[in-house]
Formats: sequence, C-alpha cells, structure tokens
Amino acid sequence: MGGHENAMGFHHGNESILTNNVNVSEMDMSSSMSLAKSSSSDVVVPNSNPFLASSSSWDPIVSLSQSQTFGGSSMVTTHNSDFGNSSSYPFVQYMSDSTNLEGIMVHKIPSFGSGNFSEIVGSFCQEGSSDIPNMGFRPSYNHGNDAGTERAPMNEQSQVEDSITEDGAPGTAPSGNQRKRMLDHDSSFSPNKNAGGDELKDSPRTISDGAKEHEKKAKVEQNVSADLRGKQPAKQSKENSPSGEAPKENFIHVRARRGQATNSHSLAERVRREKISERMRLLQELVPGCNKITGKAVMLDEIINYVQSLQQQVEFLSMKLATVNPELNFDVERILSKEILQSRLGHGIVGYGVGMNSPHPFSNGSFQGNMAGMPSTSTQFPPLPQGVLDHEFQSLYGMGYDPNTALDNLGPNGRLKTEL
Amino acid sequence: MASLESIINAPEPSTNNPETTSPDADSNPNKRRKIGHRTVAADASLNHLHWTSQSEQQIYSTNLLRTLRHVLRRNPSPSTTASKPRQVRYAADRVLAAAAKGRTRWSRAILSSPPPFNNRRMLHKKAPAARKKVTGLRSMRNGMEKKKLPAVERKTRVLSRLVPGCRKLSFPNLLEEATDYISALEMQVRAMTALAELLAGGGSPSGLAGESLS
Repeated sequence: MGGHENAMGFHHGNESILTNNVNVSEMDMSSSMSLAKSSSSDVVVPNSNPFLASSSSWDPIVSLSQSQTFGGSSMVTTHNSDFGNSSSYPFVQYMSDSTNLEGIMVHKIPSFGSGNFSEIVGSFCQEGSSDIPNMGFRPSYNHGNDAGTERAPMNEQSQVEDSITEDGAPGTAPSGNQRKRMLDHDSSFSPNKNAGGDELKDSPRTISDGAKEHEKKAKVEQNVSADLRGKQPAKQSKENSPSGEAPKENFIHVRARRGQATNSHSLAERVRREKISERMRLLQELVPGCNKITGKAVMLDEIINYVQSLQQQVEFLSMKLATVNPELNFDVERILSKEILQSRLGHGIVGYGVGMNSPHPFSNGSFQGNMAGMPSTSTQFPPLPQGVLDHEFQSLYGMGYDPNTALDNLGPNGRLKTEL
Repeated sequence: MASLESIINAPEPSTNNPETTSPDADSNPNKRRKIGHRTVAADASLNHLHWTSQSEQQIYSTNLLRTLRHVLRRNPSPSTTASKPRQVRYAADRVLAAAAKGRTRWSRAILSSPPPFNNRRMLHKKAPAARKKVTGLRSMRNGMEKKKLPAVERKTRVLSRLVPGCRKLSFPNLLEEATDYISALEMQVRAMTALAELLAGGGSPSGLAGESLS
C-alpha cells in the first residue's frame, strides 16, 4: 500500500530529515512562516550547500528528499523557473523514482494551505525568494471552498497512508493534500483520490499540489523536456543543476506536459527519450556532416563510421611515428613546450631555428597520399608546426615570410610544402 | 616522468584493476534503472569539449613524445617489424586515456587492458570466427526467418564494441561515452599528425634546404 511504502521510505531516510519533517508538518499555516524558516534552515544545512546555492525555492524540499543520492534533481530548480514564467500554474508536481520521496515531499509541503502558500514557500526559500511569488499559488489558493471539500476526504486517506505523520489535526489537514501530491494525476481530481493509493507504488510519480481544483484549469508541465513553456530557463536550470545537484539526487522531478498523458510510465519514457535525444544532438554536432540527418539508425551509422575512420587514422599515424626516430629530435620537445609558453610565434626559437635541421617539412614520399583520408584534421591543422615553422623560415631564408603562405604551403594534405 | 613509466609498464604485471567506480556501476544493475545513477551523474558533468583546447593537445603531445622515446628505445628493431606500430598505437592510446584522468569509462578500460600480444593470437582468432559464420548461415536457411535484431540495436552493439569498455552500457550512457571518445580521438589525431610532421621532417636530410638555398 502506499502508506506502507511511505513508512518504508521514511525508514530509509535520515533521521534528521524525519524529525524535521515532523516539525514541518506540525506547523500551523498561519504560524508557518517563522517555523518554516527555522525548520528549513535545519533541514537544508545537513544536506549540502549546492542546494542553497541554487536559489530555488524548492531547494529545501529537494534537500529534504535527499535521503539518498539523487540524480537529475535539477528538475526541482526548473520548477521555479517555470513558475516564474507562468503564473497560471498554481501548483507544483513532482515525479520521483523513489518511494522515499513521497513521504518526505509530502511532509515538507503540508503546511501550505490556501492563500498562505506563497508566503510559506517563500519562507522556505533562503535565497531566491523572488521566485516563489511568481509561482502563482496565491491566486489559485483562494478558492477556499473547493479546496476545503476536496481536502477533507483526502485527509483520511493520507492519514491512513502516512504512518509517520504524528501531527494533530491542523497539521494533518494540509498533509492530506500533500499526500495527494505524490499521486499521479489526470486533470480530473476526484478519480485520482481513489487511485492515489495505487499510484503511490509507481516509481515515477507526479506530485500535485494541494489545490487540486486548479488542476483542471492548468495542466501540469513537464520539466524534464526542453519543451517547457519556460523553455530556456528550464533548459538552463536543467543544465546548471546536473553539475551541482546531480551527484546528490537520483530522482528527476518531472511534470507532464499540457495535453499529454500523465501516466507515470509515459513520463519516465519521455524522460528517457529526452536524455537520449539530447546526447544524440551532441553527437550530431561532433560528427561532421550530420546536420541534416534525422533518425537514430542513420545517425548511429555515421557515428560508427566516424569512429572507425578516426581509429584508422590513429593506426596510420602510429605506423608513421614508428618509423620515425625520435632520438634525433630533442629540440622537438623544446618546440612543443615553447609553444605553450610563447603562444605560437616562438620567439625563443629563432636562435634554434638557424641551427636546426629537423623541422624542415620536406615530404617523405611515404606519406603523400595517406592524409587524404583526414579532411577534418587538415582543416584544423594545429598552429603548433605552423607557428614554429613560420618563424624558422623567416630566420632561415630571410624572406618576408608570412603565415598566409605558410597556410598555402600546407596544401590539401596538410603537409607543409615549401616552394622555393 | 614517473607517471609515464607507469603508463608504459602498468599492464605488464597484469594486476591492474579497473577503477573502483566501474565495478560500482556493473554490480548494481538495479540501481541503473534510476535516472542519474551516481557514476552517470558524475560523467554528465564532464565536458567533452575540453579535448578541443590547445593546452590539452600540448600536454598530450609532450607526453606522447616522451612515451615514444621510451617505447622506441626499448625496441630498436628495424622498422619492418609489424609490432612496432602496434606498440606505438598502444602507447598513444594509453597516453590518451591517461589524459582523460580516469573520468570516463573508455579511458579506464584502455588503461586496464593488457599490452598487445604478437602474431599467434591473431591467427587463432580468425579460425573460430569463420566457423561461426557458416553455422549461422545454415540456421538461417532452415528457419527462413530473419531473426535480426532491430537496426538500432545492432548498430548500438557495433558502437559498443568500437568504444572500449562500453559493452554493457545503457544506450544513453553509451552515447555519452562515445561523445567523449570521439572528441578524444580527434585530439589524438591532431596531436599525432603534428608530431609526425615535426619528426618526419627531421628524418629527411636537410640537404634539400641547402640545395634550395644555394
């Protein structure tokens, strides 16, 4: 049962979190602000600083749910950005892969009731309190009647399920709402209530806010996909958060997009697909000539071909390097190191240039045609030999040697051909 | 450089253990189902674009040069031997994997793989492969069914074989490893090309320059 799961989830969690949760849930809505601040500070500190740093109003919630490490928790931060952009979304939905999250999340939110929500949430935010007012909870929460009636039946359910809540009545009333949040929701509110117990078992869950009535008006959004209405902020927050929060969280908080199925499985599918497509996009940029390719199979073909060609090039080059005797070229290392120190035009090399034989790039007939297979590398010819050889040519031949001719001398094969 | 010695000599005792993080990922297949597994999350923060920086290439070139000196000094055989390029390739790959600082799975796999064995192993490989192919054809004729895996899956397997150490990796993680591997390979090609240019230029006599001058 869902309640059983919640109990187990709590057992997995930190003791400190549990106690903090209990404290939070006991908060009265009216007096929540001060309590929230203190409790949230208690909660957040043990977990870690990155959450504080991310200036997300939901950070305390996230940190609360951090009984284990989470991945991709960045979704929480995206919630804020979403709220900032669209005030019509009155509630927050979370999806987590673990059952642990539910109870904890639930407890964090319980004190949020109608009307005071934004204040309470704002109190939790230690840094980015500006985000919270935009969440738009305020207006929607004032529909007190519906909220009251719908919450009441849920309270019972939540009380049954929530074994950890030890609060009195005022605490449980909001907690009932919060319990509901863990459940998957369709737009209609009432069916979800009954289905909530079953839904709790699903691994990815959508946690809806207490104001269920608003669910009909404003559908949930998915944070994971880049198609959020707050598209760029969501993307940014998602990209920012993996660096800071990914090591901490294993769960991604996802919300379903408008008009899309909020089934937990389809949400997880969507998350997975988004990850894959993002990585394919990165690969598309890497592999040359794949801008117009759409489709995984063709793209994979290109990737495979490219990796094989790169490995072949390495093979060629290693064969070539094997024939070379590096002992004669002590100065090469000096060239290499001086390149680092004196970006490109090694001034200190001039003295060597006169006396050196080595860097003259007269073609070894052996390697003439082999470079044709490396179009990309020839275009990205490293400045190292160019800079060095430019200077040496200048010193050796005393000509007005300019880098442009050096580039021309490179030829299509990337080999320097001196034309004298 | 002490680290270079370790790079070259490490596989010989053959007691190398893969980095501790990889057993973590392999021993917890259940946990991989969770989005953002710990190791994946750590990899997610690694930017594959750091391979494009000039400093990385310089560092790699320097290390590669020193490694080459070690290798070729140890094996001053005539260049007709086929094993020399293989050793060079092996050393170059290991230096590249070392440059990755062990953050990626492919780099760890490369560092923990044994040095190339010569000749006999290659001959043995071909025979069983040929046999397998024949039986495969027969079974296909009998069944008259093409039990081919879906195209994407087939290609995924090919790719996982190409990227070292990524055979049992989930698709998104495989893509991520492939991204970093491709960037690293590109840098390797760039650096080796530059090095070959410099070194090969030194091999030929400077008489040409002298002639052209006069």
